[in-house]
Amino acid sequence: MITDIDQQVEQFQQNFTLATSEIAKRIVGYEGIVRGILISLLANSHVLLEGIPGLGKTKLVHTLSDVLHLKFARIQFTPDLMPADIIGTNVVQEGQLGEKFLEFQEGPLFANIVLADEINRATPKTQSALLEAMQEQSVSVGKKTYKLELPFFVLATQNPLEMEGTYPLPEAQLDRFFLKLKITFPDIESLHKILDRTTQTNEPEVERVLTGDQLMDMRRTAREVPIARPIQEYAIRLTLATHPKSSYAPPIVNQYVRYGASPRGAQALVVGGKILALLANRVHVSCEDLRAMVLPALRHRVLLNFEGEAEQVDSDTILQDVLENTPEPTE
Amino acid sequence: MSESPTTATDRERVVRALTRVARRLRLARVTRDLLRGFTLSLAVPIAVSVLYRFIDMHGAVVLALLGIGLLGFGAYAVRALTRPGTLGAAAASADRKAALHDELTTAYWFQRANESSDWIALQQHRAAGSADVLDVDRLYTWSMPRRVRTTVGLLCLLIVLNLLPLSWTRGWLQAGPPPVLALSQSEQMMLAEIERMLSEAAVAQGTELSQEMREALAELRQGQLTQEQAFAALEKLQAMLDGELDALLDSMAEALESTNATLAEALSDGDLQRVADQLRALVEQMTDAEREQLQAALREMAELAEDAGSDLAEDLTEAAEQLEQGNDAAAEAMEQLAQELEQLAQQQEGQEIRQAAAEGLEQLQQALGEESNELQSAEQGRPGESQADGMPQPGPADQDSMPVQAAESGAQSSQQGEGHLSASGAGDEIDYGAPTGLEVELLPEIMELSPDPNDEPGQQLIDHPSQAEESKLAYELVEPDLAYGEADMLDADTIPLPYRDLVKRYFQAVGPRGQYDH
Repeated sequence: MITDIDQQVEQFQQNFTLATSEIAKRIVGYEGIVRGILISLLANSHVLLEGIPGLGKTKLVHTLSDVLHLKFARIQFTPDLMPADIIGTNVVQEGQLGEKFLEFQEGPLFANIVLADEINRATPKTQSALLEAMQEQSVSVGKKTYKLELPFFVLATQNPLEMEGTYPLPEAQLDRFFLKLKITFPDIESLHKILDRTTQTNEPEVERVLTGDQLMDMRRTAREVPIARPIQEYAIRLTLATHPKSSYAPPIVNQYVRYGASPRGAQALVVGGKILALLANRVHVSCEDLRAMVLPALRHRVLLNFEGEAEQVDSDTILQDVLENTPEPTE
Repeated sequence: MSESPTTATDRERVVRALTRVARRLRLARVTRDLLRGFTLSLAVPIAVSVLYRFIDMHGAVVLALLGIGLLGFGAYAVRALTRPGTLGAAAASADRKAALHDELTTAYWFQRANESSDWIALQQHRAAGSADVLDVDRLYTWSMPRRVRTTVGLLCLLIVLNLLPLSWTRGWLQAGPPPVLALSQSEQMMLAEIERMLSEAAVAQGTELSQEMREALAELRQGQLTQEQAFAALEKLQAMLDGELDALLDSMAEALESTNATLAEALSDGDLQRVADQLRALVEQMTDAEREQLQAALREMAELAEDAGSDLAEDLTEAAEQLEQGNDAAAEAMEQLAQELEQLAQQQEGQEIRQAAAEGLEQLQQALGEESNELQSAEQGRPGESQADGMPQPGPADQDSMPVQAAESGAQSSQQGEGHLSASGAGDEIDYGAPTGLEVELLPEIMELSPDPNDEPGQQLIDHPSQAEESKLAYELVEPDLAYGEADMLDADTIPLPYRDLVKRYFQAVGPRGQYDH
C-alpha cells in the first residue's frame, strides 16, 4: 500500500509539473498565479483574479482549458447581464409533429472552466446566480436542477482600478472563492518573453496533458494527505487571529478588521496545505504549507472596518502581521 | 487498519531519535536556565554591594541578603532541574533544526493519537527514515550561551565592586566584620594626651593606670574598634574617671550634714585640707552629745567609704571607735584621720588631672561623633570620594575641620562652666578691658595648627596675608586685650587639647615681655 501511495504522490507531482510547464509555454511570468489556479482547481474550488486589464488573464484561462482538455467558457460581465444569460433558459421548441415544448438551453456556465471576466461589473442579481453554481455545482431553472459537469471551475476577474459603476462582490460570494490571486505587472524579462511569443507569426502551441479524470484523481489524492492535530490547530489559530477581539488577534486586527476569515478560510488553508505538501513530496501538511496559503486564501475573507477602509489598509499587511504574531506549535 | 510490525519499528525509530533530542534539549535548557538564574541572582550581591557603598551594613546583614539570593537561586535551580521535557517539544525542535517541515511532529502526534492509515503509515515510515539520519550532535552543538557575556560582565562588576580597592568602591567581601573606626592624626594626638594625663594622674595619686584602662586606650589608639565599640570604650573610660572620690566625698558630706554643717560643706567642696583642719579643731571643742553624733556620722561615712572601696573606711571606723575612749584617743584618731585626708588632698591634684582627662575624652567623643556624621553626609553627597578599603580614613579636609568642630562643641561646654587643664581655671574672674582697636586691615589668616618640622619657623604660624600689612599699634598697648584673649582662649573648650600648649606658647610669644617669665 505504501508503494501505491508513493506512486500516487509521484503521479500527482508529475501531472502538476506537466500542466504548469505546458502552460508556461504560452504564459510568461505568472508561475505563482498558475500554481495558485491549479491548486484551486485541485481543491475543487474557484479563484478570483485581481489585476488591471491587459495582463493576460483571459489568455491564461484559455491556455488552462487547452492544457487540461476541459471545456472552456468566457462570460463578460456587464451591468445589463441577466442571470439567464449565464445559467441558460427554457426556450419553446417545436417538435417534428408541430408540438411545442420547452427545452433548456444551457448557458455558458455549463462548462468545466468558466472565465467570469470583470465579475464586479454585473449586478448583484447576476453575481448571485453564480453562487449556487460555485457552491453546489448545479443550477436551478424553474423547478429543475441541472448538475454541472465536473470538474467545474470558475475563474473570476476584477479590475481594482475602475471601481465606478461596479458592484463589489458581497461577502458571501467572496467567501466562495478558494483563493484570491493578485496579478502584478510582469517584469522586464517577462515582458521580453511575452513580446517575443506574441508578436511573431507562430504562437506557441500547447498540448492537452491532463484529462478531467486525471484531475479528479488528483483531487482525491490531495484530500488523503494526513494532517496532525497540532498543525491543524495552527491553521485554526491563524484563522482565529484574523478575528477582532480574538485572543489570538494581534493589535492591527483589532484596529482595522470588522470580520475575520470564515471556517471556509481554515478549510482553504488546510486543503491548499495538503496540495502544497504533495507538491513538496511530503505526505503530511506542515506549518510552512499553511503559511504559504495564508495570503491567497484569507486576503479576501478579511473585511476591513471603516477605519481600515479610510486608511486604505491592505489586508495583506494585516495578514503578514497575523503570520508574524502567530507562533508555530512547539510540541 | 491493524498495526504492522514495520510501522511499530518506524515508531520506535522515531521515539528513539526524539528521546536523544529531548535529552540534548534538556541539557541545553537546564544549562540556560541555571545560567539565567545565576545571572539574575547576581543582581542580589551587586545590589548589596551598591547599597553597601552608601549604607553601612554589618557582615551579618550582608550574609543574610546573600543567603536570600542564594536561596532564590537554589529554588530556581531545583525548578529548572525538575522540569520535564516532552518528546513533542523535541519533535518540534528537531523539525525546525533539521528543516523537516513538521515531519517528526506529525509522526509523533499520530503515534500518540494512535491513528493509523496507509497515508499515516507512509508518513511514519518516511519520518523514521528522517529520524535515522538525524545527527543530533551536529544539530545541537554545544555553544556558549549568549547570556554568558552578561553573566561574566556582572561577575566582573561584582569583583570590581568588592575586591578591587578603587577610589569609588567599597568591598563587603573584604570587610566582613563591621567597619572599624580609625582615628585621625589630631584625634590620635588627643588620645595620647589623655593617656599621658591619666598616667600623670596615676603617678600623682601614687597608683598605676589600671590594666582595663590601658587596654581600652590601646584598642582606641590602634583603631581596632568599630564606631559603636569606640564610643562604648570612651564612655567606659569616662565612667572609670568620673567622680570616684567626688561621689564619696559628696555622700560623706550628706552623712555629716546634720552633725556639722561646716565640715559637711568643706567635704562637699572637696577641700580636704580644710576638713583635716576642722577635724583637729573639732575634737578640742566638742561636747559629749556632739561626739556621739560625730561618732555615728563617722560610722556612716566609714560604711560609705567601704562601699566605695576607699582606704578611708578603716581610718573612719577607727576614729569612731576611739571617740568613745576619751578625748586623748579621739584626738589621736582625729589626727590620724586628718593626716589621711591631707594625703588624700595631695592626691586631688591627680584627680584634677583625671578630670581634665575625662573632659578630653568627652571632647574626643564629640569629635568622633561629629566626624562620623560628617563622613556619612559626605559619603551620601559625594559617593565617588569614599575610601577604598571600606574604612573611613582621615584626609586633609578632616584635619582642617577638626578645630572648627571642636570649637563648636566646646562653645557649649564652656557655657556649662566645665574645667580644663589650666590651673587658673574657669572660675577665675577676668577683668575685661576695653575692646582692642587694631588699626589694620583685617585679612584672612590661616593658622597652621600642626606645624611641619621641615618648614621654617616663620612660615609655620602666620600665613602671607598677615605680612601684607604690619600692625600700627604696639603690642604693649593691647596688653589687656591680649590677656583677656589668652584667658578666654585657654578657658574655652574650643581649643583642642593637643593645641592648647601651642596656643599658650603663641600668646607667650606675642605678649609683653616679662609677663610669663615669672
